[in-house]
Amino acid sequence: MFRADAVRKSFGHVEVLRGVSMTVQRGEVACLLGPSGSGKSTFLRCVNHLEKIDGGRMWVDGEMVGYRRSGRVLHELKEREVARRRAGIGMVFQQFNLFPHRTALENVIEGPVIVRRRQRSEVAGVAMELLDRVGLADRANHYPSQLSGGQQQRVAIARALAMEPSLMLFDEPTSALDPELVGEVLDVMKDLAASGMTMIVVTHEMGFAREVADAVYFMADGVVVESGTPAAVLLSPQQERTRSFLAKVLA
Amino acid sequence: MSPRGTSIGGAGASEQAPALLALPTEDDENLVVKSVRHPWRLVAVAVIAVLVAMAVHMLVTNERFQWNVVGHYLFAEPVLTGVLKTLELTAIAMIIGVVLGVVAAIARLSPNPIVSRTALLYVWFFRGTPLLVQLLFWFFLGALLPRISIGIPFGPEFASVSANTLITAFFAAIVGLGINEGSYMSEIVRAGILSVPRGQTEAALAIGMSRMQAMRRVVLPQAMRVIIPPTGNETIGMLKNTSLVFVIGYTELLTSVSLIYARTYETIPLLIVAALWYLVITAVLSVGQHYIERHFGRGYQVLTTSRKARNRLVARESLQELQAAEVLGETLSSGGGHS
Repeated sequence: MFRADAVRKSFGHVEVLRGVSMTVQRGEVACLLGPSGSGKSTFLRCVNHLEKIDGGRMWVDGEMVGYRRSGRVLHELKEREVARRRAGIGMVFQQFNLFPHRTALENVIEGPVIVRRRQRSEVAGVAMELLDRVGLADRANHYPSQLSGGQQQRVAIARALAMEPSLMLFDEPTSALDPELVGEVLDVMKDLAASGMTMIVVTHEMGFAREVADAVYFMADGVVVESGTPAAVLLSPQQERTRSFLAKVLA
Repeated sequence: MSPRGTSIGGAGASEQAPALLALPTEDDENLVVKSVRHPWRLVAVAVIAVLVAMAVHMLVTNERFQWNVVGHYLFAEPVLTGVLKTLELTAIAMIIGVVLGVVAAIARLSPNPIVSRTALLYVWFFRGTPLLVQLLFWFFLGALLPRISIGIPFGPEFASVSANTLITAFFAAIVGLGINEGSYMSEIVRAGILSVPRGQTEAALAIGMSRMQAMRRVVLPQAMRVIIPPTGNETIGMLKNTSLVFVIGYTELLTSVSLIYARTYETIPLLIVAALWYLVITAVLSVGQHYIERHFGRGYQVLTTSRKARNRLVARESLQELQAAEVLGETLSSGGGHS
C-alpha cells in the first residue's frame, strides 16, 4: 500500500531526512514518534508531495510519488498529475487549516465539488453523513471561528474523508489542542482505524500509538532509529536513543 | 483544592469587611451618585460651535458664493453628463486596474523569476512616473507610433490602424488611468495574498486542488478582507484622479464645469458644483464599501450573529460541558485502573 525506500530530503545545507524506509500494508496504522526536528512531519509532507524528495523513492497504491517511470527514465509529474494523486491521500494538519470563510459543511463539500467536479446537491448528503460520523452534524452551518479546536480538527478529518482517500496522513493532529479536547479527536481517529483505513500518524500521543498502531517508527535526526510493534518499541526499546526519548516523554 | 481556597478567601474578606458592611444606616438607601464632570468638553463644544456658526454665516451672507448660480447649474444638463462620464471613467479604469493588479500580484509571486521581475518592473515604472505625464503620453502616442497593427511579431500584419484614429481622448483616459491604477492595485493585492497563512494553500493542495484553484477558491476570497478597504480608498482616489483627464480634453465632470465658467466667469460657484458632486459620489461609494466588507468578512466576525443566536450557542455549549463533566465524574468514580 505504502512503501518508502531510502528517502532523502534537505532544506539548504540541512539534511532533514537521511534515508528513511518504511512499509505500511493496507488497513494498517503506522505511528511516527520522535523528538521535534527529527523529520517526522517532513517525511509525512513528502508522502503527498507537499515537499519534493531529493533522493530515494516512495510509492502510494503502487504509484510512485512525484514521478512516472517509463523504461529507464523517471519523468517528474506535471502539476495536474500531482494534484490527482494528492486527491486520493487525505491529510490532517496540526493547525487544522480549515477554510475560515466557509462553514463546516462547505469545507467538507469543497474538495468533491471543485476537484472531482461533482454536483453540490449530491455531495451535501455525503458530507452531512461524514459530519455526523465525527459527531458534528449539528454544527454543519457554523464557521470555523465558532467551533472549538477539537471540533475544527474533526471537521478537518471529515473534509479529508470526503475525497474518499485510500491513505490518511495525520501531522500531529492533537498537538495544537487544549488537553481536554484531545480525546474527542483521538476517538474519531480510533473509529477510523477500526473501519480499516490505512493511516500514517505523526503523534506525541503514546497512549494512542500503543492502543491503535500496528507498527511504530521512532525517528531521530532524519533516520528511523527503531521500528516494530508498539509493544516492542514502547515497552522494550532496544536503542539507547529510543529509551532516553521515552523516558522523557513518559516521565 | 478549590473549596479550601475559597474558605480562606472568605475568612479574609469577613475579617476586613465588617467596618463597612456592619453599619447600614437609613442614609445608605438614598445615596446620590455624582459622575465625573468633564468641563473641558463643554469648552471644546463651545469653540467648535462658534467656528461652525462663523462658517455658516460666511457661506450664507457672502454673496460671492453665488448660491443661486450653484443651484442653477447643479442639475444642469452638461454637468449631469459630466457626472455620468466621471462615473464611467472611474468604473472602467478601476475594473482595468483591479484585473491588472490581480494579474501583476500573482505574477509577482510567481516562482518564475522572469515573470516576477517583469511584474516588478511594471509596478516600478507606472508608480514611478506622474499620472499626468502618463495620460499625456498615451494621448500623444500617435507621435511615437503613427500606425498600430495586429500581426505576427516581426512577421506579416493582419490589420493596421492609424494611431490617431484609435487613440481618442476617452481611450487614452481609460488606458492611462487603468494601467496606472493596476500598478497600485498589484501591491494591495499582493499584500492581501501574503496575509493568508501558508497552511491554507497547503490544505487546498492536499485535497487535490491545482495552484490556480487554490488561489481562486481559498486564498483570494480570504485576501479580499485585506484588499477591500484600501481598494475603497483607491476607488475614491480614482474618482478624483479622473479630473486629470482635463489635460487631454476629455469632458468629464471637472472639464464640463470648467467649460462653463470659461464662458461665464462664474468660477467659484461652478467649482462648488463639481465639489458637491464629488462629495455625494464619495459618500455613496463609502456605503457600498461597507456592504462589500461585510460580505467578505463572513466567518470572521462572530459578532455579526445576533445576540440571541450567540446566547443559544453559549447555552448549548455549557450544557455540553455539564454533560462532559458528568461523564468524567462517572469515569473517575468507576475508578478505572488504566494509566
